[in-house]
Amino acid sequence: MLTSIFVGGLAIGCVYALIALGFSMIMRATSIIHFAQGEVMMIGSMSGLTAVWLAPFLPAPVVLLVGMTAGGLAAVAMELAAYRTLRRRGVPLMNIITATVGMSILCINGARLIWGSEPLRYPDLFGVEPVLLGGARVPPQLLWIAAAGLLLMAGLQLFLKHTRTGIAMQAVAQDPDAAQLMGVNLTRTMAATFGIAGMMAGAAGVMLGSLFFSFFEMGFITGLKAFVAATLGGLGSIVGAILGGLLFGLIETFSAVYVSSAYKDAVGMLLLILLLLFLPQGLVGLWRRGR
Amino acid sequence: MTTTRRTLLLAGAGALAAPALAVAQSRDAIRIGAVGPYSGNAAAFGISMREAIDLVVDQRNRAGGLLGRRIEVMHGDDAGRPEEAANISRRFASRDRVSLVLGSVSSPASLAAAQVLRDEEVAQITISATAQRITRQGNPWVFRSAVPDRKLVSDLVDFIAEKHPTHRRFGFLYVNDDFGKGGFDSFVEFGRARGFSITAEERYSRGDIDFTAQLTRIRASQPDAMIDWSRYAEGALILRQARQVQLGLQIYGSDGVAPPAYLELAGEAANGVIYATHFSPATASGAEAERFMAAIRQAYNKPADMTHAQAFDAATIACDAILRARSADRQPVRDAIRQTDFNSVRGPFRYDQFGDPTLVTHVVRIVNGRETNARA
Repeated sequence: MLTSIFVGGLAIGCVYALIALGFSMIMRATSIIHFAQGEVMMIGSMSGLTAVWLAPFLPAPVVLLVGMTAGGLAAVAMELAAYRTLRRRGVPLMNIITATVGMSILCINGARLIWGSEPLRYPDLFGVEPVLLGGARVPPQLLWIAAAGLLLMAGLQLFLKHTRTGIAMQAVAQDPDAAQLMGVNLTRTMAATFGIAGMMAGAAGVMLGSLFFSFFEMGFITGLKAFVAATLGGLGSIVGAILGGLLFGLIETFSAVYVSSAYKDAVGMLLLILLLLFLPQGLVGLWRRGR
Repeated sequence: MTTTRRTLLLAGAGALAAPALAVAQSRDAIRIGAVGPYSGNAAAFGISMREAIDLVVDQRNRAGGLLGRRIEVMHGDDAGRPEEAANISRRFASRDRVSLVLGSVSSPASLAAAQVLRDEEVAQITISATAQRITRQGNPWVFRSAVPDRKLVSDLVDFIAEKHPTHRRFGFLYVNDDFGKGGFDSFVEFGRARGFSITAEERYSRGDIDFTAQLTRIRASQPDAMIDWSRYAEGALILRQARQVQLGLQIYGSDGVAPPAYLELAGEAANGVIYATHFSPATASGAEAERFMAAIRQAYNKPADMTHAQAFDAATIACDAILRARSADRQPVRDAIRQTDFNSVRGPFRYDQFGDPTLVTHVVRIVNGRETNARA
């Protein structure tokens, strides 16, 4: 039983972590808290589902890729269409953040128009026969999602450390002016940041959809929880977002089993408030202080 | 005079010309108001409601109308919002001068409408609202078409006790709101008389998607069966996750899972589940039900659903009441509704002293993805 709860928590944690990564990357590059990140996830989920409708033979990794591409494109479109223009006009940061909330509501309504207001069922992408793991029977979806999620996050780390675009993103995040002086194209790098953040969220959308449903409002509460997870880890930190997401997923699942299922959200949020009171920098702050 | 003054104050200057207009129109048509969620999240219910009402009215008009007058239905879209339902009811009562109002679908919207219609003294027949309190506030103007929630629970408890006597200890999972909590409290109350006990009481919040923790706790409490008081989206997820964690228990569901989307979303995981419903082609019997299902299929080319049945009966009650009253005036119509006694599409239908129908809840079991009569 412990094993299956752990894998369940890990899988949902991966979903939070992938969305939280987007929050942190965008936060680092542009100082924007991108509240439409949950909706980017929803768009990825819906697009992956649409791909399965059109071509039912698609294997799971291709569906994941479709979701990632759609999420990436959606996030880049938001950046190019709205946020970049607002930044260029020197609009105060608070107003841009408000614009992201507007973007989120726009996406929710647009999705309802396209995909309707009923929850939509994902096909079983990863099989249904339980897998024996350490004596426990674990649904294969959970294992696949945990594995794919961890793989994507590892891939992101490699991308950020070893590719020109990745290094440029890091540079812009640390000091945009210096990066620009060194010849980094600021506009393009920011668009790339939104693109990568959107791809992570899109992948999360396909995972969440295949675990549960696709639903035009699915991004709202999940996006909010991912934001909390990012804050838990230390907003703006890549490692923090991953840790925060995984930890939040595990805490939520374990507290539902061992504390109370009705108040599992409250337990997570209480932890967040306590952490912010004593560790304003999030989990990453703890690590930095330890050094 | 006071009514006119109040109307003017409430409706504002825009309605100044309305009363004169309404008098002129009321001579040639009998007006019935219908308020429902024709847009928004519950639009599927609202649209079924509208289809069934239009069908009844259309049939009656083609047969010459009522009392030699045509019937005109005014539809108002409350989008599922109580404040909107109240506004529309006010407009129906004062500007449109309707004889009675059908609707709304949800309990909160129906309650909001009921408060206005009680003030205005217009009879109302709610369509799908099941909250007990709608008819228990001493409001003589409100009736309902649906079986109220407590009666539904009590019918389900009787069904389990009679058909599945080995199920006596239950794990109970419910959505943590009025609907779920109401279902749980009633089940405990009615179950006590049957010797039922609860081994685990598990809750979740509206919109939750992961129920494995709750299911794990229910399984650990070793009940004979599980009761799930959810709406269909969460209910379908619960079925799929119950299969994943290999719960291995008979699941009984509420009427909240009766919409067809439940079976669509749950897929194979739905097989074996038993739930209470307000109408199902599987449990429908009698000429009225057959005629009704054929009429819906012919008019809209789709199978009749629960809301169709409730709205069809409500509209029929309304038309018959006007005929019996020999008047479209509000008070005689209200009194005639109270005397309703006919074979509805859901079975013999009368009103008790509260304005609730005396129907017996239908119970279905899913076999190969289809509803079958669980009482058979």
